[in-house]
Amino acid sequence: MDQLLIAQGIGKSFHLRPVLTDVTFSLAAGQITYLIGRNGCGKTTLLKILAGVMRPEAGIASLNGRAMFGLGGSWRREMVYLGHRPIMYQAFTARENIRLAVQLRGQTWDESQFRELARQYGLGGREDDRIGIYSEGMLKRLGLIRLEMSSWSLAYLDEPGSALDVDGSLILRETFDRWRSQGRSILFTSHDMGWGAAVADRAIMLSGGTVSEDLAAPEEAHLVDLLKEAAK
Amino acid sequence: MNFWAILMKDLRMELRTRESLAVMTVFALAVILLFSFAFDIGMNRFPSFVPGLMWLTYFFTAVLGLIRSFGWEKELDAWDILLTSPVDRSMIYLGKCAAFFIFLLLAQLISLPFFMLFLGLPLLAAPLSFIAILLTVDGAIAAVGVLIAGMSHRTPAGETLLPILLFPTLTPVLIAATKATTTALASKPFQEWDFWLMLIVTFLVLFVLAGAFIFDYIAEQ
Repeated sequence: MDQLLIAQGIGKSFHLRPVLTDVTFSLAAGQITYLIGRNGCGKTTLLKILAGVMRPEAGIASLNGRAMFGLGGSWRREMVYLGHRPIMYQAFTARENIRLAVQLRGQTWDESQFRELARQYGLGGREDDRIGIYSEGMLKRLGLIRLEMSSWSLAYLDEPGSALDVDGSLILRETFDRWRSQGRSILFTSHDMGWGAAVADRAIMLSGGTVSEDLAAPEEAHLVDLLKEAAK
Repeated sequence: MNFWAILMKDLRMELRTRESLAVMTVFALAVILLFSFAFDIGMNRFPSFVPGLMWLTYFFTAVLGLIRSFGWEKELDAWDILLTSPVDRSMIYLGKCAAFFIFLLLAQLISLPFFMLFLGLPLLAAPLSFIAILLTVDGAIAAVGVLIAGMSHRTPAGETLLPILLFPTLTPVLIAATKATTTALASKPFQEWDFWLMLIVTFLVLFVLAGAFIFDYIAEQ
């Protein structure tokens, strides 16, 4: 498989406490990778570094052959990021937020696509509501619409299933399958080990600031054992 | 393109919430009212300390506006949408500078007549000179303010840190603005205050260039 993302020796510390020391791994095109680890092991930090939200103190990375972390942001055209929070403006409506995100990526706005996606994701009729009144689950759905409206090769998703109801979780799983079939890659975190193991092609575990395990076709029981082992 | 997207985003946000302008204007008017009682200016001729009061008022007005402007970016981690987009970060800086410049100017347009009315600021004595000083000082405040707010707003003590860092950085501009305004409004020739104006312009150009260059580094955590 072609390597889409290559990260070597990523390091980051907060207040002199190292969180990531030497994270090295690669992601292949069309691969869904589940990032696991105990609380505070640096999963969110790693996703934020790879998305360009945080600057690493050490290491290099490339996305589709383009060097990351330097001046210029053309490499960010290849990726999207959905954090714990929806990274949107709460005074804006759903439509305004998605439109801004699309505009910032230099893409053209497709109103009919937006309407169709809003209907599919259960937000039909709420497009012109300010998102400040949206529930957590609705914000997650809106975040997924943002990803659907954007062109990208790699998505970093931090707890994409949290706050989603059963219907939302099913939609998310279908969306993951569709993105995989389109050759897109995903690196995601989730505290729902069963859900994560079911949708992922691969799991990597962060522990002690490095990638401690790299598993193909992960199974929930094995992942739980690994986390229990790391907790000792 | 991205510059306009970011500028329009901030302007639309202000139109929607009216938070920045309301806070800035109400603060400026409250200070003017307080000063008008504190200093019995009456029908005295142009009191030379008023430009200093005016620029100090607008410094704190700017701090309040910056806190609100970057407050929007903190809600729901919205700042990350700018950082993760393939946008040149100098455009984020310049877009936010332009928007903040407009907010500050609007707050001043509303409050300046009250400076004239209650504190005897003779703006009509040299209106063009005053406009030149106002635009360059506002540009410098926006250039420095957005740079420092962009750095501090993601730290836990960001709102405390902003005035602490901003005041010493802007002190040369505030001194130059006070000197230039006092001299210009006393209808003195340009040669007597051109040095102060040049100082403000130099500060403005340096900070716009520095901000556009280093914002890529400071915008990230």
